[in-house]
Amino acid sequence: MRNSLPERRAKLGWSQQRLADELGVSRQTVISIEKGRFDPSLPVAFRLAAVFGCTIEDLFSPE
Amino acid sequence: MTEPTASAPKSSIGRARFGGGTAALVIVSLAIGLGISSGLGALYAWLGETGEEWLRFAIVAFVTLPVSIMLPWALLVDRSSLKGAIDRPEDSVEARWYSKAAEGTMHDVLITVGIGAALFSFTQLQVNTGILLIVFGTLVMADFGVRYLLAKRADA
Repeated sequence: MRNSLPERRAKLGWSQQRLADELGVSRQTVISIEKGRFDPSLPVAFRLAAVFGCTIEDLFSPE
Repeated sequence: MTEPTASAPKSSIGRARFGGGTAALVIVSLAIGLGISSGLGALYAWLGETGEEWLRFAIVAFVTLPVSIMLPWALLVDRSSLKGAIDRPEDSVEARWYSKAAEGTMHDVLITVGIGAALFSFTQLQVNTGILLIVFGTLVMADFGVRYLLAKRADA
């Protein structure tokens, strides 16, 4: 699944560790999501949307 | 579970979930661990061959002590007081690596046990059960470790 996490995170000036802390997951989880190798659970997807102030559809799109 | 205040410092040992601090957690874990190890040592000395009971008690108690102490610590520690512990481990990618490795290992165990049972039945082979279980357990742990690393490499 494609996502716009790296761009949105860069806009906020956050590191991967900072985003991981906000989500309550490991930094490796953020790395894997950004690379599109790990589809987050629905709760994490909702938290991501809340963190970036957008909808899940804005963040993720099918390949 | 005791929720620490925002200013409460986190540490690598953490605090007890029953309300005590680090010292209480360490003391309780040590006490329970010593009890478990002593019990295992006594059981081994009692069930084993006669002679050198104290030596066998001491060896078993000594080698089981680290795990016996860590087990109650893992059950009693308040995770939110641990430095580096994430809030939602079940949502992290490491949980998926674990699940994938466990699933693959279970299939390997089923296949191995099936083939092994057939071989032992056909050949009437007799082996030491204790050694067989130790070898099998070691192989299962190695299998899980390799599968975990492969899952990690695939996702990282």
